[in-house]
Amino acid sequence: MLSFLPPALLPYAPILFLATATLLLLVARVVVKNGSASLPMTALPTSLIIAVTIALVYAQPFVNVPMLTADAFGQTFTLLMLSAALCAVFLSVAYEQAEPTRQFEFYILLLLASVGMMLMLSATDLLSLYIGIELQSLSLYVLAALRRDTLKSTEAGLKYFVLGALSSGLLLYGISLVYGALGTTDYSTMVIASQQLTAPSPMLVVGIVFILCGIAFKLSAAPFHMWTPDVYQGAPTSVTAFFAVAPKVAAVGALLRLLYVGFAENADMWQQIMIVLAALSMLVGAFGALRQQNIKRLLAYSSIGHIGFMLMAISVNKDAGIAAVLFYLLVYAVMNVGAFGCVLSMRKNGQYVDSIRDLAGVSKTNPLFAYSLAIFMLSMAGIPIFAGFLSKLYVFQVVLDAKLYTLAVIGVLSSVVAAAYYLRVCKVMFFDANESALDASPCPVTKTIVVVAAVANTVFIVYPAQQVFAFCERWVSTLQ
Amino acid sequence: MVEFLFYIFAGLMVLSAIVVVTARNPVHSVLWLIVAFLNASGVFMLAGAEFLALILAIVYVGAVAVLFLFVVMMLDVDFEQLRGNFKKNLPAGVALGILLMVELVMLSLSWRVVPAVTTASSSDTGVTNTEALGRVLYTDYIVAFQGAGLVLLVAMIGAIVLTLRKRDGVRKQNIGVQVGRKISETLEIRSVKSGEGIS
Amino acid sequence: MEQLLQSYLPILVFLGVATVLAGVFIALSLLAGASRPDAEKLSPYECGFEAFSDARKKFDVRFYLVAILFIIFDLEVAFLFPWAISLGTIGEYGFWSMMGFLGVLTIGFIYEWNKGALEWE
Repeated sequence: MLSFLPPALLPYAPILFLATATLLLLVARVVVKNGSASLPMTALPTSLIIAVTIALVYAQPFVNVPMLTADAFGQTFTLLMLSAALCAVFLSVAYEQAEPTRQFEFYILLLLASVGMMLMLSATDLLSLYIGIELQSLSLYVLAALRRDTLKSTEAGLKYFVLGALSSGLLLYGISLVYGALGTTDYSTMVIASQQLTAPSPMLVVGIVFILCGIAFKLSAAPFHMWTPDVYQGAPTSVTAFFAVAPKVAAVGALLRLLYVGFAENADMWQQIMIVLAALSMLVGAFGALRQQNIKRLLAYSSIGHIGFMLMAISVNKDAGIAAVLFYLLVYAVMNVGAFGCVLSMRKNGQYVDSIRDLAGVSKTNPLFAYSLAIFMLSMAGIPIFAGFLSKLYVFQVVLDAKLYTLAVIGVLSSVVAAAYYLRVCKVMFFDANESALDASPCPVTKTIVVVAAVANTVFIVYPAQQVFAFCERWVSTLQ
Repeated sequence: MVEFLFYIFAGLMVLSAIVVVTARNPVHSVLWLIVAFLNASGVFMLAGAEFLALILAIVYVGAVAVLFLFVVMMLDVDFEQLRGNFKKNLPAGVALGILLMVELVMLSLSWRVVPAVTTASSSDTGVTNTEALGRVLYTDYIVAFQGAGLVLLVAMIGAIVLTLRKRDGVRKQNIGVQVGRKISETLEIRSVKSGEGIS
Repeated sequence: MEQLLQSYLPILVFLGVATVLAGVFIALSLLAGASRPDAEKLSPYECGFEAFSDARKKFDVRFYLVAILFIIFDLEVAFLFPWAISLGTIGEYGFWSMMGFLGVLTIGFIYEWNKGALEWE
């Protein structure tokens, strides 16, 4: 399939295609001036480009090139990330039609962010990791502020940018310290250098701490989560739908590879940090959301909590942890794509609404919407028979096997608290008095995505759970 | 001599950094920031990193600091009001600074750099700094290099997306249209009889 | 290392002379100049009127745009220095590597141009 490429370029094929196609789309879109009327038409080539990239990633041979690798681990995460980006493109179409931002750059920046995330997921060097993170976050800052005429959006962009720049600084400082302590930035050489260390190196410890702080910012793990609710609320909803899944997949994948490959010999240094981050994120995610009136802020806190659960699985430092993280991430992606599909169909009198009170009694007027959102909420809360229950169960099992009992107790406690606010959304939809109905969703694409995600969340326990579980178990050994 | 110069540059850098945060007039802050950049450039030079030193002078002093000045001079912000928050947040800031300071001191007490790092930056091999950089940057580190190109592109797109506005009712000179005008489009010759006007 | 620093000695001497000269000028004018300020001399003078408003006001954001675009191309040029010096050793691969980089930024330039970001209305 890829034989026409010169062999030297073959390993870069998917990323090269994605970048080149994006640049061509940019030129085509800016040279051909037929106005922004055909904006949804940009979504079509964008989704095509992502689809072709998915195919290329799927067909990619596994090789290592300087600073990058193509392996089964990266492939799985990249496929998941690109699929999430594709869903975000589909979801954006309805939003673009209803409230045009008139900026085709949305799609260009989304594609460029995807390039950055692909770099992150296949980076085997701290430098390529940094460039990937930077490319991704720079695109995301601009996306957050895309509706530049609204106060909330500019505020979101500014906050995200200032805090993100700070975290990039921390990350870079940490990388320089690690380089000073180990003399290399390449993951596999870093392992050898750590083995050869004769005395404990404080420089390495401080470096690892700084790097982890930087990545925790990007992951929105507590206590580096401050930007998340404001950015989720302020950014255009189509952008938030993108923020919620793809960057999280990329950051978790990059973190896993960094910790389990690059710092494999230094587990005693990072394990405690991960435990603290996990515990704090779960608690912040649970208690922060209790008083939120805005569904986007609620989902922001919910994502902080979910990140906490994933970090909990990462902190066990065992192969089983990786499998649990992948399983959790898969379920998380489906739940969030669906939930944001719902948020994107919350319209009243031709206007988007995002307050939970606007959902009062919609179970009578918009039953399909209400039941889908209820399924996502129950699944996120981890109520049995839904997919979210299985993923949480898997994480708890792994954590208990590793004898991290305190962490497990905090996890259970915070999921009980979190269940309260997920159930409150359901209560508002099903038992509160109806004020006014939501508009009928005009976009069949959004509707399809929501319904598919809802059905997938419900029947997951019956059909693909076993297979996905087996896949995750088998797949663990691919991370080297 | 080198040591003496290092302490001069480093001392001036710390001093000007302190003035940057304490100066009353924000324009002065930016000017002191330029002094800090120049001293940092001097420190880089003493460490043998001549390329970095000069790039710092060109990019940071020449471009970034100028942009800062732009922003500070042209923003309609009440700096006195911002200064009020400065006092309020001072304890937290000082605490954080002390924490970082302690960390750095602890780090410097156990400063042990792998030999590979120091040999990589030495200029005793007869290759200049800039050339040594060029030999690896475009080949071994091509991924990071091209990634940097994309980052710059995103910066470009971002700046335009967020700030460019089309104004309505702007009258612009269009030379092509002016030159392309024909007499028949603009001039009409009528013969006027005496005593009558033109309707 | 010593040799490297030796070659920058003239710049250090130049900096030293510039600093000393500037210091002397300021010191001399402070010491020798006549300075008898009064309220009228110290008040701001603006063609005979009191100052109407603060010197700071909102400016067209276009200025920033131009400055940012300048910085980006400034950085691009910074990448060209090591490339130009080492082109002999890095060969064709290095050459095309830079062409790719320049290509990306050229596309950025086409984008700016067509968007009208370089026009001043």
